[in-house]
Amino acid sequence: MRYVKWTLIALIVLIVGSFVHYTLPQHDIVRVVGTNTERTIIPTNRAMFWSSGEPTRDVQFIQTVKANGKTMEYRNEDTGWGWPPYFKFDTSSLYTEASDAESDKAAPEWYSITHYGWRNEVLSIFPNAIAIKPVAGPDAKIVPWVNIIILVFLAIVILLIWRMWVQFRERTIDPLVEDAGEAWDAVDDKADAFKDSARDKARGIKGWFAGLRK
Amino acid sequence: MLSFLKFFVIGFVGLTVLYGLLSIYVRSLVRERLEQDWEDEGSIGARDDYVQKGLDDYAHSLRPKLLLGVYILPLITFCVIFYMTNFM
Repeated sequence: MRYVKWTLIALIVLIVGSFVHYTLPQHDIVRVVGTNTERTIIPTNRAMFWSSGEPTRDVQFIQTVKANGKTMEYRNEDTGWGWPPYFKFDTSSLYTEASDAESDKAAPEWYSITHYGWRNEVLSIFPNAIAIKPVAGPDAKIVPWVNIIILVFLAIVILLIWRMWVQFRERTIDPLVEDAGEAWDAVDDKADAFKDSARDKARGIKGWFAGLRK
Repeated sequence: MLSFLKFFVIGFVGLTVLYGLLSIYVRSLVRERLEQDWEDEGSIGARDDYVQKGLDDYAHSLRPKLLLGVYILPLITFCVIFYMTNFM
């Protein structure tokens, strides 16, 4: 039973963790090498890794190279009013900015791309770029203020839900259970009293019979 | 347009549930404190009257109105995110 419990807890932590990791913004320091638009067929089983819309459509991509030489590709799509709540409507502007940010190896210009989502080569999924900002160099550090605020807020919400539950249990459920317990005790006492009186009566009758025999 | 409506309707319903739960919770805290106060003051007078008066005072004070921040704060957050994503 203990293994079942811990497996369940681990599973919940994994699912919530993945969800938060996928959804929260992250920053990559990259050099933009190109942008393009590609006719893309999005398989229905992977639609959740893309913005909602027609399964076959033109999707904009941003190709980049990181300081360590590894490549990274981003899709550039509106999130609109849907999930995750970035309310991104400026896809076209971002495309222009990314195109304007292109640089080559000889004279690299470094940019921080804010994005959410995962790159997975096997599943052919791409993180969605949200913003692009120039930075001083490939070692630039960005403090993830938004993530700090959101995670602290989430912790407060979890604490609040827990406190609300404790309060509800103390003030509403426990008194009900106590009442039920008291009611049960009362029934129990009555039954005992009945049993005692029945026994007394039986004794009385026995005594009467015994008296007769004498 | 439809997704815009969906966002605001779902958001409003969600926040209303949160508002309801929070107001019940805070009221329960106030009641608990009043009961404690009544005992600390030496259990003078009827407990229910004391608690009821305290709850009425609370209902007419500024504090329950602060809970409307449940609607206002997400709206401000929405505006900030909207501005940051599209115009910064």
